[in-house]
Amino acid sequence: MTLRRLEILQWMGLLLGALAFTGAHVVGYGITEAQCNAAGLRWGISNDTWEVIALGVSAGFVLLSELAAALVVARTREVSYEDPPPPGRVRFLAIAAVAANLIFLTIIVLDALGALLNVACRQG
Amino acid sequence: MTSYRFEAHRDVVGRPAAWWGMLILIASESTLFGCFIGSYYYLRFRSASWPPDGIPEPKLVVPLILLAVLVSTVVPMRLAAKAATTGRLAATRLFLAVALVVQSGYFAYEVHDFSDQLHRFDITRDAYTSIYYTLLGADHAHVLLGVFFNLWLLGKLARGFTRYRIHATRAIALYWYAVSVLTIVVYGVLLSARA
Repeated sequence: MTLRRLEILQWMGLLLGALAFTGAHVVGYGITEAQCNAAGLRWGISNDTWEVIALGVSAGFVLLSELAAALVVARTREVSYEDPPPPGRVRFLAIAAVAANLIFLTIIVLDALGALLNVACRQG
Repeated sequence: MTSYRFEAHRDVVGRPAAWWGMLILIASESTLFGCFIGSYYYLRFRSASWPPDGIPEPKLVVPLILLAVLVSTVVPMRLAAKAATTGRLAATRLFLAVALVVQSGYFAYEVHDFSDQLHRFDITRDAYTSIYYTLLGADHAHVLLGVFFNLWLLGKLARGFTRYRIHATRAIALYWYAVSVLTIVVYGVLLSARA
């Protein structure tokens, strides 16, 4: 695999998970607001259904992102993350992405569980 | 599975891993502050009066002067990073020391002011005080971390340059740029209560 392709995969691994989390969080907030506000009532949005869909889609993207990062880590095993860039940087950011994506996945799952298990449209 | 061979690319192109690592830290801290700021406006738009009755509006002049003082340290930090990259050890130490003195002075005053405000209205009083102190306290904590970074770096530079220390200087300079921007944003949010 060329360095160029590894770089593309590395950026995908680093950014896709973060974007998936951001998207899921913003969409999840919007779904709850839509269900709980008077203006959104006529849309008939089901909080639980859409939260599950948001969870599934975002978790899928994070897993894809994790796969890309893991692939880069495996393909750069002969490089040290302390080596000069670009190969050192590619490996370093791929290792960071492997760890970060696991955290993003945890946050997405907890976020969705919170939205599903808590009673919506009620002040805490 | 074939792995990528480092030998094929001996040319150093781009920034060191330390710089990228710092960028990731900044990105994660920015997310944290994004959540705080989102919470601030969420609470604000659900309150009839902001700040709540009995709490004075945030001061304007002193915070802006302090902000200018902190942001001015971006200059010596930038010069320190540049001096480190060109191998000028004495200049790097000098610029770092100048920045450290100003940053420490800023932090000392802010801690005094923070403590003074806590005596006047408690953090548990209402939603406004909770988010106000959380935002301000988190920002001060980042300044303190930067002061520790500079102290640590000056200690390391007392024994001369290594590639690692040059990279650390660049990474810590980047941290201070981010803290300056973050502080501008935090003050902007807190002072928006006057509007």
